[in-house]
Amino acid sequence: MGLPNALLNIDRKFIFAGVALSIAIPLLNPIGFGTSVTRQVQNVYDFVEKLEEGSTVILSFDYEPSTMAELDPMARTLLKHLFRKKARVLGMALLAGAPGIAESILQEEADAAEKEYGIEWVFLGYVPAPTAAMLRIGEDISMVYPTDQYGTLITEFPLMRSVKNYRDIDLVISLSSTAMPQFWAQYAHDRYGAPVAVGATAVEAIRMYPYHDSGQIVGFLGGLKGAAEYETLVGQPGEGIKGMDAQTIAHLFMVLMIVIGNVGHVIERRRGKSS
Amino acid sequence: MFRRTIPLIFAFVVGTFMVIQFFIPHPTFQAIYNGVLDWQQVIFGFVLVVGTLSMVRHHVIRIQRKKEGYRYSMVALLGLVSMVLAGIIGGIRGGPYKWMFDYIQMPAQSSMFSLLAFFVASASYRAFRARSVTATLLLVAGVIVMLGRVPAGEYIHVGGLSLTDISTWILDYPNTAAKRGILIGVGLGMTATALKIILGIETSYLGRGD
Amino acid sequence: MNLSGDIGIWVAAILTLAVFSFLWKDNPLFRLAEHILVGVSAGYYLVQYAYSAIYKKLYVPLFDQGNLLFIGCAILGLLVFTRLVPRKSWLSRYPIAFYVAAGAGYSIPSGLQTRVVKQMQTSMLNFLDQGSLWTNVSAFLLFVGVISVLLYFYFSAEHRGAFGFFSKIGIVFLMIGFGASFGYTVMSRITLLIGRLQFLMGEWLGFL
Repeated sequence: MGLPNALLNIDRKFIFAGVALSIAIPLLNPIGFGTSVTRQVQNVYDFVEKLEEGSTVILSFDYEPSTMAELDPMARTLLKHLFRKKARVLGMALLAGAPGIAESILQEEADAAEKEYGIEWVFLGYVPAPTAAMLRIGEDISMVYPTDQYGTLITEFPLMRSVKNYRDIDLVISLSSTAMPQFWAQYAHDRYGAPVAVGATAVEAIRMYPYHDSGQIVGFLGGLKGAAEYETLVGQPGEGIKGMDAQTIAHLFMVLMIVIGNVGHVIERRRGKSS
Repeated sequence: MFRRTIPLIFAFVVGTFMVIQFFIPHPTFQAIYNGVLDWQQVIFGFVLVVGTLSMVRHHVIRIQRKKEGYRYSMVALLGLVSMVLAGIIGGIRGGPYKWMFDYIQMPAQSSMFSLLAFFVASASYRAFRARSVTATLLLVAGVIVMLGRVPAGEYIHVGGLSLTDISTWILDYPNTAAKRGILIGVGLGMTATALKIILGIETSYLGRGD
Repeated sequence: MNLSGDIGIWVAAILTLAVFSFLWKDNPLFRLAEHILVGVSAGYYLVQYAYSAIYKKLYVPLFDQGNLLFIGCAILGLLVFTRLVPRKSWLSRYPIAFYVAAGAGYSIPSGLQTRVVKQMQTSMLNFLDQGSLWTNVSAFLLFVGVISVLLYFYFSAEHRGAFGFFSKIGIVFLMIGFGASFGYTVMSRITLLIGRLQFLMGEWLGFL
């Protein structure tokens, strides 16, 4: 068992322990890394910043608990900004596991900003068949959501009396762990002209670059880093900024493991050639 | 005929209408288009309900036949029945339905997915090797993005540029080119599949049998 | 350390640890947590599906708003249940054909416009009106990248000569793109674990 073998055969349980520690230690002892802001996040912020008082924004929770660690911080920081700008928020959900997450976050942020249900925000809830729902909102939102999530007819809410379709919507924000933002761009933006901004898990965010480049979306927040950037712009640190130290150290640990594996591989290959 | 041919004709008529309505903003077309979208949402809701009931049937059969691990099926069914009863009796706003979501579904589902962090680390260590030029390109791009997208990247400089700058350029240009190429290919592929469905060439969605 | 006194937090913490026990090896505790999750999630979804599709989208329009057109979709919707009866399952083909064909229909024009026309248009026009020389070069590179990636995926001709050269350039772009995707995937997975550890060390154990 020589050096290359030792480098190439690290027990996976040590790697697991390394991953856990590289996250746990920075959480216990924060370093306080700052984060720079990317163009994509800045564009979303600038768009929200320019919204006039009383603008109407759809915030669609298109994710389930599996990815809430990435998307919850985005939802919170976006809501803080929207409520501060006195925008009216229509919360909705296009995945069946999303309503439970959405109602907690919307309620908590609305309470913190002292916003009144039915006048400044409303939770329309979950509906099946996402693409059909996106298209139908373009004609008449009351046919997609005859009631809010809790069964009250939407005609009873003062907020909904002035909203018929995308023409009355100033921005659609999709928070998603799936391909849903691509469909929002396809149907809400390209067909009906509604501006679309995206908050996506890092896995999905990488697919947003072509849509941003073509102007089909206003901008996007990608993963926890995106949330941290937006929190920086809003000036209210949250879970995004708190998680950045752990994210950084864990990435460094991952790179270290990749380097160790490759060094072992190169040494082994050279020895193989010389023998 | 009623089992296969008529459903295919039905699909052709509905599909063709939904294509041409895009180009004809006539009120009648608009009204039918709206109706189709409304119906589509209700039908999909029923499909999801039936899909969940199929899962229930699967577990019931496992219990009836006492297949290996049938006790776990009993646990799954108990969880399902409890959640449904909680929703029906206590309502969906707060109460036991929300409690079970917050303290059972949310932690279990998010923990299940968080396991991937460990496995992606182990897999990268074992498989992410510079074996060829193309594999090296993938590796280098991956490492730059990994470091460039966290604050550490701002402190590491190569040739006067920070890793954050380099990763931003990679993401904005070569990555966008690759993703756009794939996106255009996917767009053409989706269109071809949609056409095959409308024309009755692709029929797998109808299931097997005549 | 300020251990939580909330029973819900304890249930969540035990479930989290049960799932993490899989890292040691597959074991009954993990499988128990797994099946609790399957059952509870299916129950949650079932209530949402039934409430949104049957109550909100069918009962309210039909009975509260008197929209009789919804009788048709109620019939089609009920036909989906024949899927559970093998002899009559062919009847479920009508609603499924309706759903699939309608989706296919509206996705054709808009899909082509969004994914093909707009993307090609941007690639072709962007490098003509950028600012500095560097951004112009980069935008031109993007254009070459898109074309070469598309050529790489064209399998109806042999990849030789100039065609082979460009398809090889396509591979270079694809590899850089996949590398970037890998970096983002790592980022995503690490965040999910950060979320769970924040919960265990913060809400449960009270360290944070």
